[in-house]
Amino acid sequence: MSMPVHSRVILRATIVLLATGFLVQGCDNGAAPSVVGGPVAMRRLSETQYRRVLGDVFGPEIQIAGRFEPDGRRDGLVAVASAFVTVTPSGFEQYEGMAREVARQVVTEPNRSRLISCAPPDPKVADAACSEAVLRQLGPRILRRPLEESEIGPRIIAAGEAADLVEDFYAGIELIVTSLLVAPDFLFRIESVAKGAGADGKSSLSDATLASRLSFLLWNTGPDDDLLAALAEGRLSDPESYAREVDRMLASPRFEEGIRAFFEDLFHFGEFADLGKDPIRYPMYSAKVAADAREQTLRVVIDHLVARQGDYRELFTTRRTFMTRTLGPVYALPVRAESGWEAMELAPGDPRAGILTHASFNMLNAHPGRSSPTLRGMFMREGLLCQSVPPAPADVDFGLFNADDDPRYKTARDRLEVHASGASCRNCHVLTDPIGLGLENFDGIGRYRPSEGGAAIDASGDLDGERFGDAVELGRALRENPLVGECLVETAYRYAVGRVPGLEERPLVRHLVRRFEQEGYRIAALMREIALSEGFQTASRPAELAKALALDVSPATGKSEEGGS
Amino acid sequence: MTIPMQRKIRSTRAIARARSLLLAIVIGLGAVACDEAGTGAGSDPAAITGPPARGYVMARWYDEIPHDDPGECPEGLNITEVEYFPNQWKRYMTERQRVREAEGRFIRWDHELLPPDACQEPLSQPDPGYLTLDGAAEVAGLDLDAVDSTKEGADSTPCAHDDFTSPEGEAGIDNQAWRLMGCVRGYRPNDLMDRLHQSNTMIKEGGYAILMEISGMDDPLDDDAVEVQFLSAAAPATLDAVGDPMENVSFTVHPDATYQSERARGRIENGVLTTDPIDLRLKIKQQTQDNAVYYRDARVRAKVLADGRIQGLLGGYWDSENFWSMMNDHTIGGTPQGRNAAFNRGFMCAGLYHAIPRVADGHPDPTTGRCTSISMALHFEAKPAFVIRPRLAQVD
Amino acid sequence: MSRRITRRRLLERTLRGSLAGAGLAVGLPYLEIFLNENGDAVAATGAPLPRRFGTWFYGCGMNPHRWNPAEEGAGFELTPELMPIGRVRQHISVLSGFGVILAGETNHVHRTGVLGTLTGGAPATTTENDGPTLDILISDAIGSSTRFRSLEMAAHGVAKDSYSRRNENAIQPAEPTPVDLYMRVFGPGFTDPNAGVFEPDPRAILRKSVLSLVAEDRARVEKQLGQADRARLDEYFTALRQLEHQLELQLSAPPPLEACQAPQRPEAEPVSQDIENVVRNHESMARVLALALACDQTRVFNVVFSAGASGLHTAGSSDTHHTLTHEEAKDPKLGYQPQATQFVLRSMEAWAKFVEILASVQEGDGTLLDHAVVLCHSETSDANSHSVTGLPIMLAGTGGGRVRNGIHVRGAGETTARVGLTLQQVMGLNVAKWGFKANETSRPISQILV
Repeated sequence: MSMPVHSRVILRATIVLLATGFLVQGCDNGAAPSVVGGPVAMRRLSETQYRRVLGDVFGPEIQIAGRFEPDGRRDGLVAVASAFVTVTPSGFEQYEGMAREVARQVVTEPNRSRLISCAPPDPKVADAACSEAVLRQLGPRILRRPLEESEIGPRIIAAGEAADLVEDFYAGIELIVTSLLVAPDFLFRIESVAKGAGADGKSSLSDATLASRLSFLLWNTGPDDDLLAALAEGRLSDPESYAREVDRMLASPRFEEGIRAFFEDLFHFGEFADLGKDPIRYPMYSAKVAADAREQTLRVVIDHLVARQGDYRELFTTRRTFMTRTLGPVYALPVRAESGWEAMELAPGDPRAGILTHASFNMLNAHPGRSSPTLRGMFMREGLLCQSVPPAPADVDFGLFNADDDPRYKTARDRLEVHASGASCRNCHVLTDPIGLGLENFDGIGRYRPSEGGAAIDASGDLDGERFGDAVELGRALRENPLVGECLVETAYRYAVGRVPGLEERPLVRHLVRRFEQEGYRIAALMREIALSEGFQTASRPAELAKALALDVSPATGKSEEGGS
Repeated sequence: MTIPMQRKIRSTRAIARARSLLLAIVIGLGAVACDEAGTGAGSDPAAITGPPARGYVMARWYDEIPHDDPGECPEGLNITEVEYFPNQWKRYMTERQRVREAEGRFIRWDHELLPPDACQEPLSQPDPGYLTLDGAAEVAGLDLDAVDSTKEGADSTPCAHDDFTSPEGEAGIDNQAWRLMGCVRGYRPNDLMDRLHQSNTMIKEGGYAILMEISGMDDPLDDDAVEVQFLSAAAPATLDAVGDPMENVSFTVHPDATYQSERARGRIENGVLTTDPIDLRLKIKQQTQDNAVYYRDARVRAKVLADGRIQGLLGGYWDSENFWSMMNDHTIGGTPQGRNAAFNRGFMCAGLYHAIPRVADGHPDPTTGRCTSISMALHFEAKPAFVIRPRLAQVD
Repeated sequence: MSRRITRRRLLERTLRGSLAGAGLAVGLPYLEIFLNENGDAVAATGAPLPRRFGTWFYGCGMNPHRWNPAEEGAGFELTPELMPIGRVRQHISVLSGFGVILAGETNHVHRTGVLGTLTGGAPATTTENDGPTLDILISDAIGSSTRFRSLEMAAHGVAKDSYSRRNENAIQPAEPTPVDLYMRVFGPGFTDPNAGVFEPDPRAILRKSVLSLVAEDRARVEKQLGQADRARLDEYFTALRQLEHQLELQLSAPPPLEACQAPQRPEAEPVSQDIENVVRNHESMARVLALALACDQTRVFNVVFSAGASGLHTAGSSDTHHTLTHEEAKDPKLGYQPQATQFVLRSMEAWAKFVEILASVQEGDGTLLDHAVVLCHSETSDANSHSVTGLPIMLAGTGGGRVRNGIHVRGAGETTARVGLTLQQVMGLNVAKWGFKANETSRPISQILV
């Protein structure tokens, strides 16, 4: 029996509408959709991670000095690039040098008594028992997993030979420690799947990999003794025990470090290492100013998101900030605290509100001698809204400057208008400049200025339909923009699993977005959801990464000078 | 990083907006209710109502050294002890050299080979005489006593002195400090003191920044009632990448209230700030010195510039005793270096000591009638800064 | 317990000939690898001296109408932008008109030009380059006998601006300051080949032992990994093997080298992209490098004076070299951008200084430069349009008498892969054709071959 056509259409339309409404509302106050995580990878530790793991194992007394291989950046995150970068010969030289120096400090007083609990009967002679005790004590913490038997025997033998060669037991301990610190198992997080995986292509991550992923996500360091114990006792395979560990780690003060590392990555703050400003144009700038600016933004983020469990979107409008006497001059604000950080709240009429008006972003996304609306706009698009900006075309024509006009246009807006008026330029610049110009009241080091070259600065613009008159209103426009929350969720997931989510993981990401919204855009809730999701805990078999990342088109390096201002 | 731009869920946007608004209201209310340890930007709650006080830090601070006619010292310049006691100094320098080479150390300036150290004991040597700069000259400064006076005036007193004329043509300028030091080699244009002024050493190397606070300034160009205070900071000036003092730095005031002057009444007319006289003491620490300067009845005449800086003159009476002690109170590792300083600058302490009361023109002693302070003028440039007064109970 | 026996033998081997604490005479036999070198032996035996290869890169090209010489061959007139090389022109050949042939590939700005020349073809994406760069190919062939396979340095202070790469994920970081370069080469690991008595350091034995431990455990790690990660692990173990090799050299007496003289440690000077700092640091680095070469610490080097999209600037200016090339107007009378062009001239001066420094080191019967060939290049010709045609290319040094200096060769639109092919052949590689897709070539530039 067939229905009349129009009725069928109506019926279908109604069903579709209901279904959409149902999906849109989210039938997801319950479980997350079931997905398979992507491929596992071998990830190189970042400098911060390297230092934190060793700081945890050996204490802050141990100095680590050396040059680390530059981090890559892929799909917007250093965390993703960690699965692609490797160790070069000169990088390895540095690692080996650092390892030897750490080992030397470990066996020298006062660290020796603190870190090595046994003593040999004769310090000039090898002692296998004590060597083994030290290895079994330090090894799991350094390698972030229980030792395999094949890693133990050869080391004890080599330690013994070393001790005999130079007649010093502790030379053997140095050898053991050095060998652990240059091992690929230390320098890389080698992820693996559990043995005996299911036939549906879905495998659980091995417990060690899960523990490692969890502690690097939440604390940006290796698992602590409690987590290692849970790992050794097989408790991580039990969902309730696992969830308890997640909650324990979220409640720990170390969660701040995890969030700090995430935002440092998202904000490209690693680029501060290469930042330089012209001292004649910006005499107020110094490396200390840059360091404090970076720290200021991170403090505000941690204070708002972790300490106060605030709404992520409010980061773009908050007037709460922290200041030091070094930063005071940049902000032209008085600072009571003679040293250290002072919490303060900017007055309601202040031209600054929200983290985008911080000195950090404005000095980082700028040139040595001037600001850059394009770089700032690009950061907002790519970092905060997850929208890709195409690179400049090669045949860009700058011959629009008329030979007899004065090329010195007063403000950046004037200059960019001439630049970007050509059709080929417009497509890229129209994405970045209108919003980047909203920050033009902040110069190349983030100081407020009402005018440039004598002409008043017009910081008004449009964020995808939402008008704003200045940076404060731009912050509000961002807060209202739904892409901001979505982008953070997507980025956090990408950071947590270290790759762009595959197509089959999209439903999970959408679920996480909805949950983020329902939980008030709180970061702890988001990280909890991610840690408990299947996407985080499972993997497909190790596969060609290149194939899995079919959508990857972004540059591997950070800020680009290419083709634009 | 590869979400195409088209990926907008329009229908959820409206819902999201409504939710955000509600959330924002809740959070806003929460924020207002929250206790916050942060301090507001701006003034001390105990300060006067009205516009907040404006702080300044001295970026330049130097005594007037006019670049004038070299013929103004017709009898030549003052000599040093080395020229006055050549034989004794020769013997001393030879011994100094010998000990340096043999033992690698320096012998003291109050060594027995030398005449007594008049910089430490001014009356231990007879007065060798001293050349002052007499007569008319063009010198910057202020007319402190509101009189265009001359030495041989109608009511000639022990403090009678000739006045100068300023470069702008103003008569009656009192700057006896220049009379005193003007014929000393190191104080001549382009010599030691002038070079130190050019390189702004006192500010750049000074241990304690000099602060100024102006309260009640409604209009920086015209205001008939402001108050001006001078203070020492607890820390040196912060310098920028090219070595100049930075703007908008926060300074904690030095805890010793001796170095906080009283508030002088003042006014601004057409952008020119003038103040009534006050006494002020400021810590001076640089190189070999660590003491404080004491000016009496000092007042300001300065321009308020469009960029916020204040530039002009501080004129007043340098207390004679303080003047003497600032000249001599130089030490290196506790060893007095006054004699060394005098030698470097080009005068004899014994001569200077007796010359001071001869030129002093301020604050006559009620018993003796002799003046106990020396008029002087210094140039200053002040940049905006924040003057922070420590609270009794500090909340972190 | 075969492992134990192997380890004991390893220790014994390295200790053989070393009486505990006693010195060794210089006349120890060399390790076999010295004799495996491409037919070269060392100065001590009177045979030809080692040949070196290097690249010298600067960013943002030149003004073609002011740089390209008019006449071909020898004795060509120096053009305005080649004036700075005047005093060393006898050591330099200029190759104009060679470029990267796009043939439909995207011109990835500030990238295609440099990687095109160094890999022999236009890179397809902004994140991949096909094949290793020229210097890696050459160092694979000639770099295995020296302590360092190659040395990278960046005068502008940014370590990650290096164009020496096996692939996009294995970019050799550059030493960013003269002190870093000095410490890497002449710091603790340096053994002076001319220091009469040699004593193997037991610490080096222990260091080698650590590396053996890790290397022997390779299989356990590898079996957990997929293909792509195995390749990366391979890189890691190659790096480890490099260090092992360095330690092997340290444990044997190096042959004396007449020209070798360890330099003074350079003063720590400010490092930034201010042109004055870059020029000064570049000169300092060049001097350390020249002695590193004379002491045979490496035979391959890569110098970056300024990066592609050059960030050079003058103090007090709000513009960089790169922004000037795009924003400065051409002076109507001069016909070029005056400020941007200043940076071109400073770059050319720095190149001339580099050549001069290599030529100042006496070696055998000639100079260090006589036994080297250096490729100077940039990522673009006209930076304003990001052009990759007619790239500025120069070669300095005769490479041991195999390269002709002092001439100008016109490329007439041909691929820069011909330069790379020629250089590989000059350095003794068995290569008949090189490059890929539209840039593949089998024709070396015969005019510069002796």
